[in-house]
Amino acid sequence: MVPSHFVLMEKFPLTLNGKVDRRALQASDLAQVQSSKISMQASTNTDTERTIASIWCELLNLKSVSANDDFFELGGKSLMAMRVVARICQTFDVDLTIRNLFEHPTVAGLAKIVDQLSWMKTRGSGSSADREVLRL
Amino acid sequence: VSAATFLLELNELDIRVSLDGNQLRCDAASGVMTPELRERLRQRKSEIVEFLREVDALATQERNIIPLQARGNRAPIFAIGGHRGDAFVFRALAQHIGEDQPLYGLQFPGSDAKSDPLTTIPELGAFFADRIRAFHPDGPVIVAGYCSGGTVAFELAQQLRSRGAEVLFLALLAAPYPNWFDGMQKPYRRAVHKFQAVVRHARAVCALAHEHRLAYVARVLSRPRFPNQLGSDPLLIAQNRVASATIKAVCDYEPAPYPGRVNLLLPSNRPPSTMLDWQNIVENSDKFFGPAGGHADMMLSEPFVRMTADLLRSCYETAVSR
Repeated sequence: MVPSHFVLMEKFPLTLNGKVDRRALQASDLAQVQSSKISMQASTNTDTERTIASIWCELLNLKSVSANDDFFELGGKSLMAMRVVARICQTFDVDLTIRNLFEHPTVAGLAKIVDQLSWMKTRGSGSSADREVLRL
Repeated sequence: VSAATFLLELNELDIRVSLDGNQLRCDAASGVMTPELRERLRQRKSEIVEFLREVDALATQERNIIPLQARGNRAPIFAIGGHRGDAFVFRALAQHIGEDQPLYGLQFPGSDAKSDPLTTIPELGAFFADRIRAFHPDGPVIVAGYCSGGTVAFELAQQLRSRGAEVLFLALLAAPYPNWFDGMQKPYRRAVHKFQAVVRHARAVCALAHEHRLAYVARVLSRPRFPNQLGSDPLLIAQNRVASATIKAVCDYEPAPYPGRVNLLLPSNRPPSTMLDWQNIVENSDKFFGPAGGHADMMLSEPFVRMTADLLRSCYETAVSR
C-alpha cells in the first residue's frame, strides 16, 4: 500500500484531552489534497490524455487531474467506473471495457489503450492495387 | 509523436503496418514510402513492434474476467459478486488477499448496457466456465461466490469440473441457499428482511470503530434503491436488468449434488441457517466463521474484509495440505 498523497502539517490538531483529533485531521487532509489538485497544472501530454482527464474531472467533480492520477484513488467506484468507460467509448468511438480501466487506472494508461483501440479500428482498411512491401 | 499517432499518420497515407514474427511488414501503394518515411520506420521499429504486440493482446483479451490482483503463482481465485454481477465488490478483498494470490472478478454480461443479461444459472455457469478454461487452461482454480453470486459460483464449479478443470475448492461467502431468494419474493418476507437489515446496520455501526462509522453509513445510503432511483440512466437500467434476471435465475435453480470440496465462509458465529443448507448437497464441506455480530454486508468491506482475506488464505492452505 503506497500512499497516494502526503500532506505536511505544521502541527497536529488536538482534542481537549490532548489526543490527536482524527476528525479534524481528516478534514484538513481532504482540504489540502483538493487544493493541491486545484493548483496543480494538469500534466497531460497528448490530446487523448487531455480529453480523458476532462471526462474524469467532469464525472468525478474535480478541478483537474494529472496523467498519473489513479481513478480509484480519486474516489472512483463501480458505477462511476462504468460511466467513465461509457463516456470514453462514446467520445472516441472505441470499445473500451471495464477491465481496461481496472488494468490501467491512470489517465496516461487509459489514453494508451484508447490510442491502441483507435488504431485497431483503422488498420488494414487501405486499397489493394499496385502495392509494394517493405520488411524491417 | 507517439507510436499511435505515427501509425495513424501512416494509415492516412494508406500504409498498412503489421507484425510478421519479429519483423515489421509495411505495405503501401507504389511510391508512397519515401526514403525519409523508410528511415523513420527503421528508427522507430522496436517501439512500433511493442505497440502492435500490445494491440494484438488487447484484441484477444477476455472482457468479463477482471484482474483485480493478477500477481502471484497460487491457483487463481475467480470470484462472482452478488446479483448485479459486479466485480468491483471484490476490490477491497483484492487489496488484502496477498501479493502471491491472484484474484479475478467475473463481470456479468449485460451490466455495461452493451449486451443482454443471461437468464439462467446454467447459462451463466457455462459462459464463465468457457472463458476461464480459455484464460487459464492448465492448473487448479478456486471458485468463490458472494451472496447470490454463491449460486452462480456453485454451478460454475460444477461446469468447470465437467470440462476437466481441477477446482481446488469452492468458497461460498455469506451465500444463502437458492430457495431463500424465492422466499424473498413474497412481500411480507421482504418487509421482515428490510426491518432486519435496519437492525443489522445499526448493530454494525455500533460495532465499528469511530472513524469507520461515517464511511459505512455513506456506503449503505449511496447504494441505488432499485427500481425507485433508476431514472433514465442507461447504466442503472442495465444493472437493474442484470439484477432482476439473476435473482429470477437463482430462484429457478435446482442445485445438483456437488462432489468437490466446499468451504462455507460465514459472516458470524451464528449465521442464518440458509447459508448452511449447502451442506445437504455437498460431500465435503468446512465452515469458517466470522466474528460475533458480523453480517453478510460487512464481509467485503473494511475493516472486516481483512478477516475474509485471512479466511480465504486459510482455506487455500488447508486445501493444498490435503
